[in-house]
Amino acid sequence: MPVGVITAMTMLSKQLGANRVVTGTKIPHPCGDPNLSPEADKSLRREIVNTALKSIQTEVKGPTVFVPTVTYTTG
Amino acid sequence: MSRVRVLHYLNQYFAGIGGEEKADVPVGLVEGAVGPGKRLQTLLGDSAQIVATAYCGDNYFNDHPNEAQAAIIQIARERDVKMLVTGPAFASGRYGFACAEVCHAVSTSLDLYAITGMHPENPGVERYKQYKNRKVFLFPTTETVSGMEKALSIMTQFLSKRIAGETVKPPHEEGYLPRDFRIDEFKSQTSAVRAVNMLLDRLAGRPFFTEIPVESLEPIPVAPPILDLSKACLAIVSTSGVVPPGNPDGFRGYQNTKWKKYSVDKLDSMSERDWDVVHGGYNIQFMKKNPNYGIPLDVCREMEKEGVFARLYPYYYMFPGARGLISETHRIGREMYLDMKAHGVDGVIQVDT
Amino acid sequence: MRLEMAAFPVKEVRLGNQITYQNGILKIDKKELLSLVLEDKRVASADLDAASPGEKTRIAHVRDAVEPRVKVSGPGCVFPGILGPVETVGEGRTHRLSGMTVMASAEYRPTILNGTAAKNAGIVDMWGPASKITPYGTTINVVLTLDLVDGVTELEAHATIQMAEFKVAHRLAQTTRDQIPDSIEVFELSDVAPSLPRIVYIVTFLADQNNPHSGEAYYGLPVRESLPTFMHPNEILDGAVTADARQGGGIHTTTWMWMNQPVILDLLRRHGKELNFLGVIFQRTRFETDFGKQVTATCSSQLARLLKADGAIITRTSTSGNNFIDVMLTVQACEQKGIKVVFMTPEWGGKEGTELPLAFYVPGAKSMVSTGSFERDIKVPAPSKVIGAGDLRRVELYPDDPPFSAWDEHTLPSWFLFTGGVDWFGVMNTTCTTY
Repeated sequence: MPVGVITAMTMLSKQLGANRVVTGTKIPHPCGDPNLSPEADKSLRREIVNTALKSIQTEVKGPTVFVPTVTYTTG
Repeated sequence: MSRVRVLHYLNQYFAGIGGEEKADVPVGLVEGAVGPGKRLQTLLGDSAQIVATAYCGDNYFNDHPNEAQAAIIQIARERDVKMLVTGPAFASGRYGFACAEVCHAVSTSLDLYAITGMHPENPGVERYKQYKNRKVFLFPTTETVSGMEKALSIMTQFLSKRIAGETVKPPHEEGYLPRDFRIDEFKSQTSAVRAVNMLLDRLAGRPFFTEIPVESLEPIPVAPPILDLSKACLAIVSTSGVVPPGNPDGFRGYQNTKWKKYSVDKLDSMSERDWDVVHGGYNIQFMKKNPNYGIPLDVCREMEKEGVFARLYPYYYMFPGARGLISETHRIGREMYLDMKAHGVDGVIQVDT
Repeated sequence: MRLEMAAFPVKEVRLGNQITYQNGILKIDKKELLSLVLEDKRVASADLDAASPGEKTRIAHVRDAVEPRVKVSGPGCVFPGILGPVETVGEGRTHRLSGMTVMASAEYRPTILNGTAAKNAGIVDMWGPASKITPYGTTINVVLTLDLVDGVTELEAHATIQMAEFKVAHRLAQTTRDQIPDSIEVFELSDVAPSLPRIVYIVTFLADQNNPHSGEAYYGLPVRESLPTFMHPNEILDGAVTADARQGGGIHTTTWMWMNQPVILDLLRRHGKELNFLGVIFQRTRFETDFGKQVTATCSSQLARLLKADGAIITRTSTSGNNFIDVMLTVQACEQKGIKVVFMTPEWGGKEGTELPLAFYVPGAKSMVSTGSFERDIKVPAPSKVIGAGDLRRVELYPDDPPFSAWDEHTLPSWFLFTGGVDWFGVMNTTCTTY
């Protein structure tokens, strides 16, 4: 069963062997950004989940990171 | 002082029964030492006595491991032995494997020290490391029997120390391959002092021993992708700690050992008033205000309505993930997988905090 | 910067009606100290007691510990920015009452109930197995028990608890003012032979910018989402770095541990003889994205390179696996710049030591020191005496844990339930070895 893992800690997920890793926003809110307006936040969430859906439709050979369009507001 | 009673285990070849054509012989017994056991006995001298040698065909052991082990345990019990030596097996794969299995089985049943020897790439080594048996020790040898004398020599040294009642020292001091479990100890110097010492050694080019070995992790097999998403049923799994109000299933802030699934059947979005957050490992204020950050239900429902995928499984799976023991999380993952499979789930969106 | 640390060892603490130090005996007047504490109207009630090593005493609801120190000469004061103006410290002469702590046990009605921002407490056992895994099992602990008024914010609670313990510590240290010390150590980073290896200490610490107090403060300012900076080790000995006084479990550091930082002390003592101690890189960790983690690692390693370091000791705080990644990346970045690193850290490993010791690996982590594991169970006996704030039959050591009684014997699921129970800085002799 393919699993798309959304997380901000992509390096850790990769190292632990997760084969489809999606870069989430930040640890306390991986699917979105509370600093954005509610519409922008939801649209970001959709982009991240969409990337997860793309990942489970993609053939991979080993741990692979899928990057959605995310802008970093802070570290 | 009475001599410590030792059992020796060999395959059909080293026991002198025959070669490959005799690899199917079942477990047999010979009095005293046989083959390489004779040299071992000489090296052990008066401290120990190989009272008997059990042997078994390499193929027989492979095909009937349980019967073979039971028979050997029986022999060890009847002959009242206090230590076991198996092999050395050098590069022989089936033999090495059998040696590792016999050591573990007899050691656990009768609570005694068991030692063996084989080449570091022998598949028996992996078995030995998997068992992590505190009383089983494997010594590295050459690939061929040309290293027999050396192998018997280090094995004898180790046995003699145990007979003398000395405590076992770490692998690099005694020569065995590590079983890779960690024991808590007190050293004579503080860790800070040892750290500075180690750095000075390293900078000066002097030898040093790292206290934590670098591990390699087993790869997870790749699952095939979903070919037609529009027909797929997807489930959400999360370690974010989003739970019903009041945490009815009593999840802890850390070291959880169970998982649960919660219904989102009639819901189009996750709202603050419907859910709590339990997790000791991150700042939960954002998740509490908007649990969609951990269970992205709002956008998943939209996509479900649009037909991007066929169906969202009406439950999400939760395991709050702070400081979860790896052994527990493996089990939990497996259980979740079986549950999802039983309910027709084809793919997973997992959100980790 | 030259600092003389004058030590006045405390061998015994007696409660009485004056505050004096003589021949190793510290006499304490409870009334005077408590009236100092009660000046702060946020303290509803307070008490004081002493616990000595070997007594069957358990201290519960511990939130911080501090060593009594006072500056008798040189700029500033101990705990600059908190007990006095913000001024660079680490010069002149400082007196310390060694072998003891002022330990704050406190309770208050919290406004944050769980997650990493919540208050957190530890236990200290003065005897038995748990006394061997923390430094507080061998110090005489003067325990200040505080109950705060309702309605305090989390940050106010921290400030109240911290000010109370600092005031008591300061008052006790004052007893040594005109006395001759038992010993004096001089700490100075003087010029040394150029052939000595150049070593920097990178002390990383978790600071959460979203929490009321981030966890550690620099001159009283909680460190939030900032990049590494550089400090003279003497500053830390004079209390320039202090801890969140609401969080006293083993996951966290105490102020006492910063003041007695064992890596700093060892490097200072060997400076000029075996090595050239360049100073301390003070690095905040736990960035919330891989990107942030990479930036801090790059910055810290670059600081080390600009200092022309040959080698670095790196340590961390907090059991957070996420935080661990920042630190490992820093190890890797230093090694890649040719700076050899010894990384000293406690490990995971499960209950039996059969699970992975570390949560994350980098190829550059070749030389590591283990300070022990925090995942093992520990069985502790029942005490004869319990000291602490609040309901001692309801000790909740981690938010959401079912409470237990401090009066009973227990098998506890981790060493981090004890204050100082996880050895971040290497002050103890505990370790793990592969067998």
